[in-house]
Amino acid sequence: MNPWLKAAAGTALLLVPLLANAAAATSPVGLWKTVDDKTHTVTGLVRITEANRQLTGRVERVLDPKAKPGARCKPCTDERHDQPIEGLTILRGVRPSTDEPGVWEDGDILEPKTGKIYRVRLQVKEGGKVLEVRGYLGFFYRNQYWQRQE
Amino acid sequence: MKISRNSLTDAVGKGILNPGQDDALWAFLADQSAHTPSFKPAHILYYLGGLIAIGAMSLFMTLGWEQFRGGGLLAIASAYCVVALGLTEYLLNHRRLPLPAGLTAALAVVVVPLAVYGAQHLLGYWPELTDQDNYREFHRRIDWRWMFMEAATLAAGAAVLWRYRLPFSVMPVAVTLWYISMDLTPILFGGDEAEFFSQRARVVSTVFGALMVVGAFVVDLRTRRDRDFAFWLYLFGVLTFWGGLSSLDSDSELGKAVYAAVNLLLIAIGATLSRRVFAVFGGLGFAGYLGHLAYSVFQGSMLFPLALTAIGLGVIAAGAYWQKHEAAIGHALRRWLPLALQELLEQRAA
Repeated sequence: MNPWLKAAAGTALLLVPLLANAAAATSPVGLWKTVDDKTHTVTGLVRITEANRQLTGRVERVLDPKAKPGARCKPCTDERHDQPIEGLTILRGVRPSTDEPGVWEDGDILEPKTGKIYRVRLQVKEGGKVLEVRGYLGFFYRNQYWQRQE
Repeated sequence: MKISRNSLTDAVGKGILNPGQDDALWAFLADQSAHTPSFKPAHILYYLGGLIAIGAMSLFMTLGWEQFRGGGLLAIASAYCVVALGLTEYLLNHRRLPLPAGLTAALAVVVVPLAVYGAQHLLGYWPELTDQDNYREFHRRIDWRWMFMEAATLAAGAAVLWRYRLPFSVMPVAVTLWYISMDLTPILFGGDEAEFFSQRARVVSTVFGALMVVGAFVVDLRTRRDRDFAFWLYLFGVLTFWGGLSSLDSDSELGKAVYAAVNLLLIAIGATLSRRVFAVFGGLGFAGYLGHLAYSVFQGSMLFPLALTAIGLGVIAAGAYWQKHEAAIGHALRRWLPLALQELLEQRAA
């Protein structure tokens, strides 16, 4: 092989993980640990996937020690009513912001414990390790911070 | 009751006033109301200008100012505070203009959280904050860590009110109490809940709002012969209470009926105290309940619209009866109240 081609191929191979890391640093796609702000215990795992420039998040596992095994979303009021919490879609319709790079918004998040749905905004922070999940109630909002699992 | 210039001219025409007395009385009334907020061009300009200046230092604060860092923000906010207090002294003591003085006094209080935020940055209190967590978020983000800024604002508000006794200075105090009602729960119960907006936080807001309304009533009672110091406290107290109550879960129909009854009670309180804010929020809540009945409970009912119309007409009839016998009913109801409260109601109804 031409030595120049070899060098180019080698550089490309070196860049692949760097580019992958850069993407992970701004994209919420992946597996995230949800954490109770009060007790700092991990309450579950949520997998966020992307399709057609839209994010969807499903509860992969419930790890909350207080949760009943096989619990269902009793307070949910839409088609998710009485669905098992494990496997439940809690994030949907989240799109990249047209104003703020690295911000995903316009979708909603469901709290399976209460059945309440809030407008949501996502932003990856701390080099891809933390996901800031912002839930809105009218004009006001509160943040949750999820930790990247993988 | 509203008195117009034409009313006095009519009184002269009917021989109630002598010619000339109407002019003297009108001049007296105009002088008395010069310092009471009303829908006059001068007053509109005062409040528009005041709200623009107050908004610039709070809701409309830009991200660019974060570049001043802690020390810069502290210095700028302190300078604003000193200038605003200087203007208040000047307007009050040299120009005898209490309305704009109230606005500049409020501005002095509004910049206090910015000064505290700058000081906290200087001392490294916000180490984890990034560019997304800036001063502007104070007005939107629910977070217990704003509490120091809120406590300082309350203290500054109390000091300004003690020094100047200008009703508009209550506004930043009332807004700050509203913010506290949302940020308080983690401090009371040791840490943030897992949910975004927990049921407990909603209950805390409702109770806090009710306490604000009680506080406003006490202020109203104590300043019944003075200017209206309770207006802003009532406004944000009712907003806090009603907002918390309306966001509470009430899965049962009984719970929803109780919510409707509370809203009717708000309307009754508004009518008694002559405070429109109770009637506005109570009306919104009750209309929401009727909407729930129409769209959920009696969705397919033929009788519901007829029954509701009958109730509406009944309420109109009650209003007509009330108007006809207002003096007698008012006298009979007020007889049972303490003297101070009787005086307050008469003052506000006038």
